[in-house]
Amino acid sequence: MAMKKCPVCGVSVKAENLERHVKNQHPKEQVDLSETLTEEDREAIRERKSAGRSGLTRSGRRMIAVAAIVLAVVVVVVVAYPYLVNPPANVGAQAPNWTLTSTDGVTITLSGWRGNPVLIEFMDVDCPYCQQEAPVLGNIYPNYSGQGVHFVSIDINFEGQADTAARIASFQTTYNTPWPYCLDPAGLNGVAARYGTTSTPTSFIINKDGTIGAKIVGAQPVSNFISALNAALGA
Amino acid sequence: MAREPLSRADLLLFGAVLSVAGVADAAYLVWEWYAAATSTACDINNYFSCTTVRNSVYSSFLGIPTAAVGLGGFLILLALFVLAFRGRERLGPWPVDIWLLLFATLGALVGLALSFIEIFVINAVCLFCAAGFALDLGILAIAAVVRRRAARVP
Repeated sequence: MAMKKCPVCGVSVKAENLERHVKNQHPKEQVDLSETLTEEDREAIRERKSAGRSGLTRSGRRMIAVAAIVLAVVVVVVVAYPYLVNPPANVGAQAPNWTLTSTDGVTITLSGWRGNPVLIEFMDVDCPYCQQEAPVLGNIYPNYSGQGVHFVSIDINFEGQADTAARIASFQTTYNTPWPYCLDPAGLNGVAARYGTTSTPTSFIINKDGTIGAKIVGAQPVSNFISALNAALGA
Repeated sequence: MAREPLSRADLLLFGAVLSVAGVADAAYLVWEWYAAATSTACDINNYFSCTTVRNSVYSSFLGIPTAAVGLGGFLILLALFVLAFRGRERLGPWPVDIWLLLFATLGALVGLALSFIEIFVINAVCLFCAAGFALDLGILAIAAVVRRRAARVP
């Protein structure tokens, strides 16, 4: 590519860079480059520019492809993997049956409560949103347990310190939650996985016939629990 | 055999790829902020805990989640990288390279400040925020190299 002299400062510049040089170095000058750059030069510049736009080198393409693939895999693994491994349990479907031992030593089987609505809460005593939810459930427990609704919380040891029966008992005393608590040793891969649970607190309202009536994710207003429990009692 | 040096187009496209990753990262954090209040897989222990960071006063400013600011920043960077890749040289008063360097520096400074707050004030680290900061630093490095090369043109 031929060198051209800048009509303003006289510096020799590659013809392809002349316009950029004038714009960058002499932004206030009104320069007409029609005399400096011939039509032939312009054609050559156009060709070089179009090549430059897609001017990816082989090693650059490889590096970008690897980076894009790695980043895409990371995004898929982080965001989608939990949902792929634990597909969400749908409302209306039969609730997966399970058997766990409560921290009081009582063996609980979900199907044993068939004929009564059940509220299952997946939680962790260290989860701040579960601590928010506990008094909400504690307030409605006397009324609904009186109507035959079974409450059960399953601690999936999701975060913070390792949970124990003693820690759970302390939690129950603090938040006045007298219903049975089970510590699932399999954590997220246990009963929670069969319900497609990826976060805490997540609650399921099970109808009298064993189908899932509602799924409540996160610490929600008490009205959400009340309407779901009323629906389950009527179902 | 000598390794072929990376071209300007290589760097700009690489920057765009990192910006897309930043957009995905920040969008996920915004979604988490507005989604139901739950603890997620990002809560590994008491120190690496997105929930602790999200519960702090630093997770939003005037009701706008901090992650939304990051999302806007990454979108601007993505647009600038695409413009530069397509051959646009100037944007308003300055070359596109300068805009890139400006926004990348701004993003890295905000990321640095938030990381400092996480470690020394909140005493908890959100790994997704840390990933966004790392992407910011990568983009800043690319923007600096692109600008340096452009400045060498006589």
